[in-house]
Amino acid sequence: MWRSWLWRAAQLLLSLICAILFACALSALSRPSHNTLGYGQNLAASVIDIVRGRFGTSIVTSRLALTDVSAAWPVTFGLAMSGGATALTLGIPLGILLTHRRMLTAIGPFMQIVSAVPVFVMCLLLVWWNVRATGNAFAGVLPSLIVGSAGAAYLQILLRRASAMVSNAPYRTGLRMMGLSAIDIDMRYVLPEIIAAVCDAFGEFVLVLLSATAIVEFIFSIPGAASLFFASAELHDWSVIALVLFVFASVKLIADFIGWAIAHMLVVAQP
Amino acid sequence: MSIAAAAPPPYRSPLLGSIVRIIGLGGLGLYVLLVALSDVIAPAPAGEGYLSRADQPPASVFMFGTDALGRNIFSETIHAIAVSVPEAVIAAAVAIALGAIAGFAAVRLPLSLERATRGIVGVIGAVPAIFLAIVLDAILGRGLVVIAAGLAAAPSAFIRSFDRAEAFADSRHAEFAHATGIPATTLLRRDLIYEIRAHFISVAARVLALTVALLATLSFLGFGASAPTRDLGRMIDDARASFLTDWWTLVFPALALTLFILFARMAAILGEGEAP
Repeated sequence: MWRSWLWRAAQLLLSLICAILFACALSALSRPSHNTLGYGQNLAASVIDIVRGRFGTSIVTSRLALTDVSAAWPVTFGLAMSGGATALTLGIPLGILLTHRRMLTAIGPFMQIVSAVPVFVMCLLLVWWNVRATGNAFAGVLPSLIVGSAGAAYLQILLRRASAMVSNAPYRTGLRMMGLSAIDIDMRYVLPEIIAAVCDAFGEFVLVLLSATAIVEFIFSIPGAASLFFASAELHDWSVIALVLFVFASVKLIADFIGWAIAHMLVVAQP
Repeated sequence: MSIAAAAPPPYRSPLLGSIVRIIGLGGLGLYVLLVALSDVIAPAPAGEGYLSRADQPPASVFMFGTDALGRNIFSETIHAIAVSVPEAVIAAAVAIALGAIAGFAAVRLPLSLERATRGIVGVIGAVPAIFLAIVLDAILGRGLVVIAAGLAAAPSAFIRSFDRAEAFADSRHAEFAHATGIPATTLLRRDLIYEIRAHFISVAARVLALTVALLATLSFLGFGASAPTRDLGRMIDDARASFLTDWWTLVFPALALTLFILFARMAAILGEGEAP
């Protein structure tokens, strides 16, 4: 068992190192170079700087990139977290509801149409609806609701797929023949497997939340890390761009690991 | 392999799946027709507007209404479709070549190289695709935004393709081929042909849904098509100034974009909420 933990931890470490190198490659663009050799020298200098914890200075604000990003990140993190909570609140009941065939037949076509609406369009439509309903364009819960809706759509399909895979598992028939009741089989074997399968995709879920958060930040002018990224990309502020991307990638990679760890523990803990 | 890659198809009935795919392909065909005949169908040239007829709601004269500059929204939507669809097709071609096909081939690399490639693409894929597209757009220059979108869509196509191809590489026919001395390149060519025959429409439609959404989002954020060219994302961005009162400036381009993505999703037989 410890071997798989060690292997996954090593994978995470290597991925984080790779993410750092990716950030260095972008950060090196902030230094002037006229040829490949020059860029190579800049890349080496960036690697040394980043290893020493120096992520460069923003050309826009003249502050340390780390200062700018660490000021903006909590806003993004808070929005993604509240969106995640909304996604769990909406997505789990929706996923359970849609595992019933009749319900899926009734709601499925509508869900297909909603899923095809890009996040930014959904965002504008909800703002329009909110103004009509309440007269306020920027109600407090709207950003979380939009991020949560994107997460919920992903979560419900994960739940449905997991339950579809587990419901066809051959061991269910075997356990029934051995005398276990359906509820016993579901609670002891099926439920942990469904939760494990959903946890395994935790990284993807986080990525969906972060992508939706970025769009919401832009539309509602929320001063988070994504807004900082868009402004920096417009002005080619590579130090900030590199750091924001590194933070986003690291969060996803760590979420992947956490998801795998929970899934692994659930599967191993099964009787 | 994650559940996202290993999941069964969302349509349990093959007949229903086929009907959905046919509707999706038919819808995409309709869009191709719109692109080909855009100059004939659109009543006015792109960008033509008269301030005297600004902000008119949908009526018999202007089916989709007019915007603040007096531009016919119906004409503008048709012209925007003619920009968005070909761009999305080019971006999808890039993503298929560098993502789906490269992912399929990468499984046949020597073990350490295979794992390293999957790991590196996994790290790049850990960045939201929209961020990746913006960074690549900044590196490549604005003229190559379509290529940037294709490259940004490639990691997800690569990972999906790689995970599916792993099953091929470990299959019994692969073992027999190795045992009988069939070269790896021949086996790869054979598996690739089977893969393209069996899954090309799904993969292409899936990537198309992703790239059209990506390009529209890029334009909406101000990184895509630049004036005077307007794609659907740019039209929606322009509508932000007035959509609270002139809803038609937002609804019709948004509908055209959503329908295109819906048809692409249907052609790929994607489930509700499933990421393309």
